[in-house]
Amino acid sequence: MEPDYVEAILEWSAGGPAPETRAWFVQRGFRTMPMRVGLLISADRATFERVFGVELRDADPPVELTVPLGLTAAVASIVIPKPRQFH
Amino acid sequence: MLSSRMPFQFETGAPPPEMLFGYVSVRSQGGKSAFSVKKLPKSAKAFRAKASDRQQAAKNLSSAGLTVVSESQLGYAVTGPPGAFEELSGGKVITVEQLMRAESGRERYVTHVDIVGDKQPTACGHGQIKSKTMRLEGVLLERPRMLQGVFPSPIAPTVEQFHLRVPDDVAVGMAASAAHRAGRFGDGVNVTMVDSGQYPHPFFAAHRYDVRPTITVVPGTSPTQDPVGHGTGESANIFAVAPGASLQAIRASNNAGALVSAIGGFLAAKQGAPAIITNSWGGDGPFPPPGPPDQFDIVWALEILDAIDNGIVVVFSAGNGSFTIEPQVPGVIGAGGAYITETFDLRASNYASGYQSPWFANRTVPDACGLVGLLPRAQYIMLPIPPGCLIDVGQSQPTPNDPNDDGTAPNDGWALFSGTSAAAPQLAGVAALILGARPGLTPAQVGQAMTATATDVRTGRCNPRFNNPATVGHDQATGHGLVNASAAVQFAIDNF
Repeated sequence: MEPDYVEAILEWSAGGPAPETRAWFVQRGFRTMPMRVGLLISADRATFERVFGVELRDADPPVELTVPLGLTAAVASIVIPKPRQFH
Repeated sequence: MLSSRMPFQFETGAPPPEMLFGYVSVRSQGGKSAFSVKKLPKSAKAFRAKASDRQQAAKNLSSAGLTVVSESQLGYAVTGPPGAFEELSGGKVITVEQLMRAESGRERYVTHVDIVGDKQPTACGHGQIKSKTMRLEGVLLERPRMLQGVFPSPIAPTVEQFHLRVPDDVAVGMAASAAHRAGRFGDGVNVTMVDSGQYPHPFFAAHRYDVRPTITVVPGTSPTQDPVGHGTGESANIFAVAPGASLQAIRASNNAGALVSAIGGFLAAKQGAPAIITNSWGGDGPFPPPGPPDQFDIVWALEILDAIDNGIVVVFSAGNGSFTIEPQVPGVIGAGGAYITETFDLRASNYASGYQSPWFANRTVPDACGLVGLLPRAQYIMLPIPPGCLIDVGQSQPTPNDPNDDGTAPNDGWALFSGTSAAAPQLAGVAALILGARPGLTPAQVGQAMTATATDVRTGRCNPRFNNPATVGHDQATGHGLVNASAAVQFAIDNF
């Protein structure tokens, strides 16, 4: 995955939405934007790799990330989507 | 030659601008006023002013309410409200329309300002000085000047291969000219475009298009750069159809030009609550798909639906052979491709996607079409881009699949390209015309006005990946056909 900047979609579970989840990501250097049923989280690739404990350079999206411990009650999934291309 | 049938100058009674710029000549030390000279002398030395006179003149200007912008040994460049110039001259500031050759070589009326009244000179923009005690000889109001010798040129280069130019050819192809003649320009309608960025190309300034400062969503990227050229170029399609629209560009690309924050860009666009969001991008997946949309697609599609629920007209390009969720979302206006030949024949673009949605009942992609070129590279519309950007370089060179280049230089700030990326902003421009004429219409009504009046495309096939034919009536290659901007506006006026 070449891009230096990554965005991922976090989908709430039945326990969400949870304001503390947004704060959790902001504290770790992510930007967040509210979505209808989740959060858009974005950061540079190194931040994703550090927080999620994954190597993304050679990853081929979509990539489903493991929901961090402590967030599982409110978060169903976190996915780095397939890249979008200009038409 | 300027048209002899049109008056060279006339008054409209329109008020002058709130701030004017002008030039004031200070009394010449040679004793002869610069305004009395009939023939340009060999030297300007005799018209220089004494330092003491310049100081006194500056006080006179300040007393009249004018601000000095810059100065020379001969006079002052000043700015101020019309009233200040009237105070200085004892005349009245009015506006006049003068026919002149303006940007891109087009003849049009350009607004000038003049000082009129008893004993005022006849030359447009020239005023006398009211008080003889002032150390001033006369005042000139700035005349409109057109951009010349700027880089990149606001005027497109000439190339041999058949192509369309912005704004005029695209306006004609989209049948927007009649709406323009009727005074429908989409004035002030906010069109937000999520793309690679918006470079301040002189083309936009020369046409006086309303381009708001770009919003960036990727940290560390510049709001005035567009490394790809895609957003800059394709946005010209909006103004070709709706020259009065207001463009809010949202840059979602990184410094290499990759579209790394498309969804973030779309969410940022929604936050601005524009009338229209146009998107010339999407994903790709297998067709037919192995199953229903995945969870990502569902969550993402909900965001698009939410925008439409909030009254925003959302346009997505159909894709150039790609299959993706965005143009299939119910309520979205999916923009496909139709091609107009040199002889004005109409056919489906074989560059554009066209299919029956396998995911949503009664959804065909596209809903309707804009103007799109043909395979292999759809080099069809001459568009303004940053000099030396990826598109500028790429389109000027042959590729393994296309031995022809676009005939432009790799660093001239212009290139031939299109794709359904061009169709989406064209349809967004049509939506702006409609909403300019009928503010408050729902996205569904705007879409209905476009599809109900589109020109049926009956020949050709869409992209070979889908290979659907254009037929009489609605079809999977072109949807309802090529959008007719003027007819769509009239439909909205008559029916809503």
